[in-house]
Amino acid sequence: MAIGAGPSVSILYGMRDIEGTETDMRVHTANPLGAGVVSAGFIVYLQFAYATLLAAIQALTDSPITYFGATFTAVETAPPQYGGGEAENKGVFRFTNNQGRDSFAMAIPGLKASCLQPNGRDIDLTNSDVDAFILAMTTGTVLTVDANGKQLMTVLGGNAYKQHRSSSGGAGRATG
Amino acid sequence: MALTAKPTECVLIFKDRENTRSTTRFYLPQTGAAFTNAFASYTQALDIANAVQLISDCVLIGVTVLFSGSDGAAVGAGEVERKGVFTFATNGGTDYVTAVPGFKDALLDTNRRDIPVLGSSVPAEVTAFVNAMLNGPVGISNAATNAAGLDLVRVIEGHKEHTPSLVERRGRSG
Repeated sequence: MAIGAGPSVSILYGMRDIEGTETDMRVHTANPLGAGVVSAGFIVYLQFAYATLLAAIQALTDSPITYFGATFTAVETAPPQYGGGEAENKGVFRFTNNQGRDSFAMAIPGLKASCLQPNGRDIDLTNSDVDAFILAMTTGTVLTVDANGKQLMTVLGGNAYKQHRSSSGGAGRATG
Repeated sequence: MALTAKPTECVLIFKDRENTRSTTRFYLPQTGAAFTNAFASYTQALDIANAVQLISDCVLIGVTVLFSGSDGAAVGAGEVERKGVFTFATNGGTDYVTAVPGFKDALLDTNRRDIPVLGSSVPAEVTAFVNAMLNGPVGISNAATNAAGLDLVRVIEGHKEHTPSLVERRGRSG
């Protein structure tokens, strides 16, 4: 199995009208990654959507554009008929930010039992795969942040544990 | 208009043995209007996704990376329910429709309904929009498509259309 570039990029422009009503319009563009356009070309592409196409749309409407969002999607190229594990079985990691605050929690669906300590509840931070995950989150070219833009630093002991959460929705559409 | 960039939102989508879908998300720094580090953010998101897959029994079936910005202070104008609807032909697919909210009256045909998209009376603003949609970024053969990634090849027609607001209360979506 492998994750590959999705067929299109979804671009959303939001507008606000005189009554304060907000709405949006969506356009799609080819995914530049699918055409082998990477790095600098990728940025040119985003700038086109953010500047050229946005200006062209703004010229058509009385309402100011108040939101821009470009979603790049990568998808499993050979998805299996069925997944694995149980999505409700979460591995919760609470990250501390660069101001020492416990500011961001990430709940990973279907946490492997092999990642747990013998008590069956706490996540073993010395497990090599767990360690690799925390390193991927806190090191690299681009460092992760919380929703307020503060850099994530680490997961302290006691801040990683298993937690069961409920599913929602019917068969085939359920989310966990 | 001044959009303030938000942190880049990355969502990982999983499927379990019952085909229940589940997501988890994390954030990377905002890239600003110059989109510096945008490609690096994308590749970092995939690296993290692969690291997450190693500690989950569920199957990773998708990753989305959202670059966004918003302006909470802008004073609204126009009426968003008044749409300018454009229909484009696609290369091998069904027609693609996109609707511009708050469409300017001044860009309509004399019948106040149609949007001139072909011929000599096409407003410059409409031409610029159609060209941007069909041609894409200069030097990159990668213009607008439908959701399946099929190229838009030409504009077919445009017209004004009023759509209902979703709720009666003001301040909500229309």
